[in-house]
Amino acid sequence: MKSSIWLAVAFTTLGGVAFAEETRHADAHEHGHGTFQMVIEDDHAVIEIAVPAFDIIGFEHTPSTTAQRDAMADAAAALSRPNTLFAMPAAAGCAIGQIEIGFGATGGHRHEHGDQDEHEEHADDNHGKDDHEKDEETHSEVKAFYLLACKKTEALNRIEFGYFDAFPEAEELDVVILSAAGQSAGEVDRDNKVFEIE
Amino acid sequence: MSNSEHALSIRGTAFAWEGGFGLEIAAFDLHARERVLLLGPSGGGKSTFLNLVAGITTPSRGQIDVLGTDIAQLRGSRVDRFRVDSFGIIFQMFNLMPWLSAIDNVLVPLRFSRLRRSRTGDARAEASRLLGALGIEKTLFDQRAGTLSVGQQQRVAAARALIGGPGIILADEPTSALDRANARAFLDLLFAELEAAKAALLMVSHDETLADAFDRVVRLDDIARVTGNPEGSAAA
Amino acid sequence: MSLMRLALLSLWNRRLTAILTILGIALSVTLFLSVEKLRTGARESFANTISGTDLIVGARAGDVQLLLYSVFRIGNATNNITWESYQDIAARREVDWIVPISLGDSHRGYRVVGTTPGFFEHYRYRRDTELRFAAGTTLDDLFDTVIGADVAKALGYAVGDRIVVSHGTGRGSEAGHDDKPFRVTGILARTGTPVDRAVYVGLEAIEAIHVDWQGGGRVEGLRIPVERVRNMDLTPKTVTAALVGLKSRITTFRFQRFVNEYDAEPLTAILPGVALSNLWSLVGVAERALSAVSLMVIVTALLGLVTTLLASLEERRREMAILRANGASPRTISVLLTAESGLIALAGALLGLAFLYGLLFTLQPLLDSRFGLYLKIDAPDLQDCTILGIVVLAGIAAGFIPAWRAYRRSLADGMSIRS
Ligand SMILES: Nc1ncnc2c1ncn2[C@@H]1O[C@H](COP(=O)(O)OP(=O)(O)OP(=O)(O)O)[C@@H](O)[C@H]1O
Ligand SMILES: [Mg+2]
Repeated sequence: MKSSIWLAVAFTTLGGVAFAEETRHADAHEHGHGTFQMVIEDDHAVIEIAVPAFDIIGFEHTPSTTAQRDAMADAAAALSRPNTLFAMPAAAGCAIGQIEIGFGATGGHRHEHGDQDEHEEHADDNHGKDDHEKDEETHSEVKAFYLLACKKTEALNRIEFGYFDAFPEAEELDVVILSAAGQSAGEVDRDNKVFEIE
Repeated sequence: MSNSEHALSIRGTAFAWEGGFGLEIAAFDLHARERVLLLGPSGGGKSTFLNLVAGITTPSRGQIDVLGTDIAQLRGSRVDRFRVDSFGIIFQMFNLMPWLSAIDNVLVPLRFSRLRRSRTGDARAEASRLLGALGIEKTLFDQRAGTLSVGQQQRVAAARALIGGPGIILADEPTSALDRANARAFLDLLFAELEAAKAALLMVSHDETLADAFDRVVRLDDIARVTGNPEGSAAA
Repeated sequence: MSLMRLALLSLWNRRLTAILTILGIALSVTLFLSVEKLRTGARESFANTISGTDLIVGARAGDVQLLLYSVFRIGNATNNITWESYQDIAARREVDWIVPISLGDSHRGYRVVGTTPGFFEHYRYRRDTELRFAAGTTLDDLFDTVIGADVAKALGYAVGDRIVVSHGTGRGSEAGHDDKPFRVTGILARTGTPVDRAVYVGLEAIEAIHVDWQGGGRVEGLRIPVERVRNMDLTPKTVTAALVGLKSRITTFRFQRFVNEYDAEPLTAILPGVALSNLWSLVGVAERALSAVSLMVIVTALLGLVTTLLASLEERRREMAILRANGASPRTISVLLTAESGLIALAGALLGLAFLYGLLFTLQPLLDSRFGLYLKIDAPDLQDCTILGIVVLAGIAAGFIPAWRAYRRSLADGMSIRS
């Protein structure tokens, strides 16, 4: 199938949700600020977001309490609904083909599967919200990768970021969209949730 | 309510300007179709009196009964409506809107009085007729009012007062700009129209020689007492 | 006689002040709208400078800086890319095409760009528009040159002319490579982009004109004749930047990462669209300030309207009183004043719009030819209409102030004007 080949290409090229590579957004870890990258080609769209974990789950250490684990599960559930987070025009007829969600520390290389409680536990107990800045090592990032199959990509002219409603800690996303029409870039935030693709 | 013979009936009315000059009128009547000449010295309060009658100013007490309605009790835009329905007014000066043509000036009351509009057939024809009857030449009808002589303006104002047949005409020295002979002629024309319209006339003048043309002559001193003004009280 | 006619006649009576007020509003509206038009036009022609290029690669630099020197030819590169790195990048399998750009020379004030014929093939502007030759053809011989439309027009060049390229980018530093003249083989059609203001030669030609130069000065006594130069190895040692097109858009971010992390040499790859919007957001501050100023001008004009109306109210007390005495209610008077103010604003807005189109029609060719700023002339858009609507509404609102004063004023007040 064409789409599966395509998916394979997308995965190898984007590197899935690997954290090993240094990326621009990883350089500037700033709570509330994440990146949203989307590439539209042929009848597919690939979205990759990279956001400080704080924006999504409210903390950046390995979850230790039940409440924290619940928060993580909730976040994962919310992240699995891209049509709510990044609402696109119905006319584009986009269907979700693949979703990958990863929680991990910037700089480290690990995939989160909820089974890493032992790991780095010492750092977590007295880890308040306020001393994140000092504690570089425990910064972690959430990455999500979505593959959409669209009937009519030309109709993809705007995205409404329900993302900000889903994640109250999120403040801003740097948006880059590459499509046949060209490259567009900008910011969306809480007050300005709609990105118009030129 | 009031006697239908009365076009105007004033009882126990008082009014005072902010400056202090005031009038107290115990009683004054104007009968239907009656022509009354109101005489008085300059500054005596004649214009003040007419303002009160026309509802331009509101008395502090008493009643001013105009064709069965106490104008002192009317509020807001109802006074304006009632005034234009009942009165044709010729002011002492600055009667017309200078940038309107003579004929448009005459038509102004019809714009605001449905009553007077309904009594007029073809408005422009009637306005032209009135202007003609009051001795304005046809060529002047469409001329801007500001370019007319003062006497001509007063006659246009008279036509405006008469159009649509209001019950009472108030005229504040309409002949002040005319010589005696012309004043007479003007009065004759005015009276002829009054006759046709069955209207009463209350006219202010200090020209006593006109008195014989009127049904009745009233001196302001006889009907009104001046208050709050040293000059006025000295005269009283 | 309708109220509207009354309002119009009254206005006509005061036509001098009315016309001046209308003019004030019209000019401010024109100012605002034309600033908006320039703003969007500038933004558009700015964003239209380059398209179809997926990435631009240069030496390590900020993305705006790299964009400025490689595309807008503003400023200079701090460093070049070695030919080896260029080859390395070109060999990547994601790469569909790559076009080198070598800067550093000039011709009578215009930048000389060393590149390959691929440039004319792959460079796109204004939504995927290709470069077109107005005359002649692309580069072929070592000493061929293609010139931009502005260069041809300003210097009066035609295909076949011989020109001399000088070293350095200084204006008129003609003590140059006069022994190796270039032949104009092609003239590009106008694009309204910096492409029009450059002279294009082959990458090897850049090497060729520098073979007898060293360290920025001509080596004494060393004059290598053209024929010998042709036989020399003219492989460039460096290029300034490279435009890259990828086979698949999907690989863009990965390719960018590859370049940015290239070990052998510090390099930067930028997404031109992203860099353009970053650059525009810098310019955007000034742009918004300009808008704000022209908005203030509109506000000032509307204040002028209120002032005029209030002043005229004084001279019109008698007029109001006559209307009142003849049955006009205070409300009618207010409506009359408000209508008048609204009419003035409407006339101002429409006249302003007319001025705008007049300006557009007269200035459009000039802006296009002098500044490469192409303004489309089309029907007023929603934003224009909104502004005009706001002006009219504000005009009506401005009428409320005198209307309120007239409303409050007693009839007797108007009647007792004595002069
Ligand atoms: N708008 C006003 N505000 C305050 N005082 C006023 C006003 N109009 C008139 N007056 C005062 O009322 C008094 C009478 O004035 P009015 O105009 O009624 O006299 P008049 O009899 O009509 O005089 P004339 O024959 O000269 O027209 C004067 O003392 C005048 O100062
Ligand atoms: Mg008087």
